[in-house]
Amino acid sequence: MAMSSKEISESNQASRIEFLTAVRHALGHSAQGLPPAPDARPEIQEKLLRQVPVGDPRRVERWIQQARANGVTVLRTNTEGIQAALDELLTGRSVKSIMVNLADLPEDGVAGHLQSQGYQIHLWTDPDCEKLVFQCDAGITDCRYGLADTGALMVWSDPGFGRSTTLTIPLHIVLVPAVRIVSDMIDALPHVLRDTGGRMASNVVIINGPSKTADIEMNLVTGVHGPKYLCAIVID
Amino acid sequence: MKVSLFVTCLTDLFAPDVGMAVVKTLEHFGCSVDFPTAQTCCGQPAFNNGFPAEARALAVKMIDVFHDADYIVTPSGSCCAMIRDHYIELFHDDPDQRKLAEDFVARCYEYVEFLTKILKVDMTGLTLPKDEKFTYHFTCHLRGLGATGEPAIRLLKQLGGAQFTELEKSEQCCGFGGTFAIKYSDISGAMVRDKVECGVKTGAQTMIVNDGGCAMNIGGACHRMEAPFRVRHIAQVIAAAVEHTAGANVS
Amino acid sequence: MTSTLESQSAPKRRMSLPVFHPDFMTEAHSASADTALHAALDNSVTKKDYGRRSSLAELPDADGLRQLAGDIKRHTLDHLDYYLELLERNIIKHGGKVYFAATREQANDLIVNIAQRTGSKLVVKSKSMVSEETELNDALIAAGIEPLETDLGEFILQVDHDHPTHIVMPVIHKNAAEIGRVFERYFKTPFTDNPQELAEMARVYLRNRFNQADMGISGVNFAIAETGSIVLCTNEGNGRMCTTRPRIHVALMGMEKVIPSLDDLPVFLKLLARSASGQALTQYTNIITGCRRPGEHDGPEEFHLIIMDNGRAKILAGEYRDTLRCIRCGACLNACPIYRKVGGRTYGSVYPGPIGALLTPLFNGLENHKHLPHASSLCGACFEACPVKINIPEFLIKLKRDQVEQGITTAPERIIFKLWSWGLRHGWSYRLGQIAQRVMMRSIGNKDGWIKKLPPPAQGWTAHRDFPMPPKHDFRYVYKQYRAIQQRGK
Repeated sequence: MAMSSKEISESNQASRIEFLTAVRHALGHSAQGLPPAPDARPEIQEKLLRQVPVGDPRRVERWIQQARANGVTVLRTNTEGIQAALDELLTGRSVKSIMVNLADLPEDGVAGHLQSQGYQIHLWTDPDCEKLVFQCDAGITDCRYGLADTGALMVWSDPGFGRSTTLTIPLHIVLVPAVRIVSDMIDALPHVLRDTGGRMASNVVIINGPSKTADIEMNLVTGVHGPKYLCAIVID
Repeated sequence: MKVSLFVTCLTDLFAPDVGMAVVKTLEHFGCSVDFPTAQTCCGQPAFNNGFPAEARALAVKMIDVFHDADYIVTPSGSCCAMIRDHYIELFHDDPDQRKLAEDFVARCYEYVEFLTKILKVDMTGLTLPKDEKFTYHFTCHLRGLGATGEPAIRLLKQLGGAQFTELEKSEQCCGFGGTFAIKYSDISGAMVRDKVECGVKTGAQTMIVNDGGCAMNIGGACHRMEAPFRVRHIAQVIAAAVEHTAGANVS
Repeated sequence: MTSTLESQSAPKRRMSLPVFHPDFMTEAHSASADTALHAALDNSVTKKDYGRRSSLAELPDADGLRQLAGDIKRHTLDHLDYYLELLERNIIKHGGKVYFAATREQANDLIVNIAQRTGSKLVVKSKSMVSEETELNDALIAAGIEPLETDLGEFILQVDHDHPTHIVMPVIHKNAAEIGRVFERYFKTPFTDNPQELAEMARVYLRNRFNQADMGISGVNFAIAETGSIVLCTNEGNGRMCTTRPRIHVALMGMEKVIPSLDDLPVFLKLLARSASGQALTQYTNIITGCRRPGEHDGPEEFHLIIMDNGRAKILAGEYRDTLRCIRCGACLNACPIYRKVGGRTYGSVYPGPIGALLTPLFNGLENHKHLPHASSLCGACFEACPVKINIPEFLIKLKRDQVEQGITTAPERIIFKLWSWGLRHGWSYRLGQIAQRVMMRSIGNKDGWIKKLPPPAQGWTAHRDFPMPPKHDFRYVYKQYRAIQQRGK
């Protein structure tokens, strides 16, 4: 018989005290949960971590190079060229339905253009979007940041931006504003707290290429559960 | 420079020519070499099997035997690593003995380390008796000395007539591991067979090592498998070049 | 040779880690002769080890970064109570629930309870070594709940009723043909050994089940105390599916997985994938803080974190505390020359390889795993590979010391080493020993200078290679002659 919430909470309180007491005892701590002395902390040194210099003028080129090495198809254009780039990436891939979910960039232009090209467009504001995204052939998102050290993309969720569009569709196209490409992971991660006013988003993902596995005799197979094809349009 | 040789128990019994090669080559490079006869064993087998007290007793003796040596040089990478990594901590509860150990450790060198870091030898003037293709097995305990295979390979490449070829998985342990080769002989056997097969693939005539245990293990497997290459300690190769060049100079 | 360690007897105490078989020596014997296994391992773990080295060389100071990672882990372990409470507070702040499980049974009970309370009948699982530790799937099945592994390797093992043999690459012991047969039986489809086709079969099957599942269970690579987040590093996307599609997300972690702050995360992210396989990053690094927020349209409705002890506090208390630094990257397995010859199955435990050789006896008792600390040549490759600088060879020697002190090492071995050490302390007994060995070995050697068969207890050596016969004169003699000749020459 399943325990009720109250029963779980009571038994958990007892377990919790027992557990933490065991840990404190193991460490020889008598007092409860005291923070370590400030100078006990190992110092995080940038020189050990940084692979691309801050503000590197070639960071966009670096990002493109690394992303391509990761198996991402990358096109580079300006705002006027976005629609043509989308057309190029979607042609010949038997795409019928597309989920468009942009966190920061305006959706209207993209959605309107693709509709005019004959694609069935869904937006994250549609009812049943959670179900629809599972059935779409392609997903178009933007990203919060691009990371030039590895060619990765960073996205995070909020009420307007879901988790699923970057995950459940076989073809994922990302609009990457060049101004959002930072030099290194250590430049991007602080934004996760800073940009959201100090409150972590429910779901942050750093995407480093298409879904893959080598579990079967070390043979590389792409598109296992996440997208098989990852494409990026870098927008100057 | 005055050097005292720590020959190691294995080299003493099984490979006296390696010990002599160390003596002669160090003399060639300008050292005077002595051999304190009271030496026995560094204690590694006892220590590695969980008998630190037994190892400690032998360490006390070793430190005493070499107490007035300026430099102590050994042809065994693993023995040197035993001394450098563990001798000081063996005396953690004895400050006086610990000080002696620290002093001893500071004077101990593995053979190639001594040639490259202290003597800083240049072997470009030396020539081998005949052209030879070498490959090099990285004795894993050199890791304990913070060393890589680079210094040994660099020295070998300097020798006239030496052609060097890379060994696949050169840093993979050959399977000696002291008592491991006997207690876990099936695993050890598989490891040494792999090492010999990699050696055969290089087409080299000689595989060079810096440790008596590796030499016995790989050499024994080579003989059993009738491999086309022989195993030599690096000191033997350098000694052959020294002797050949000296002979050539005389005539 | 008859082992100096007594043969494995029935376990004397409750074991925190499940053991799949107790017989290291028998398994090692057959695995050592299995050249197909060796080839498969060279194709996988050896390649990953080389990948590790070349990708770490891309970092500005890989050794310095490993030192820092080790220091952060050491610091966190030294103040683990503080960081666990901080983690708990911050998870609760973001609407999640935290439970503390002292034993693996408690961990399983908590998860079963959550499943029952939420009416969860189908559970999809992302790869979690801790769930192997608790044998969670068996507990769920016993409670009438269906667990489904979604990591491709774990899925293959689940349908074949087999166990992972590597921490990161669970199914390297099976080749494509064997996997093909497993799927042929399970899906009742024509046989194929094409990896693309096999992966596609699993993908299509699992995709629907992600949506049907009520609960997703994940492990935790890192838990960030400061932000109340858990981090999952995966490649396939199944981890994200498990923690996005079902309405309940349960995460299970060993208590040592916590790190202090978001600033610490890149230290580990820049080391983990490089150490595990040579990639700069896994395809997906997922930082999860709680569950779906108001206004969001996807994500789970509930988030539960179970923090487990299961014997870790005991390890924390002693001189083996640093073994808890482990971030489960598998680099030590990949570097280990013994692992490359015997494979993961030989270790018989949830955690194989060098870290397993430490953890298994620490969790389960040295008396239950007598061989694990010894089956090592102490080459140090594992220490060199470890991103958090766990000195595995040092700890293995400590374990052997403990075995001697606990009387697990047999009397004959203890006596041999005492005699040997005594004999070597005196010049005369050393010389006598050398002479005796020389005489004995020369009497059994061949004319070509080699011995084909050594007597017990050393017969294992000559089972696999010849043994050199000691020369007629030892070094001392030759050296003395050399000096005598030099003197005469003067």
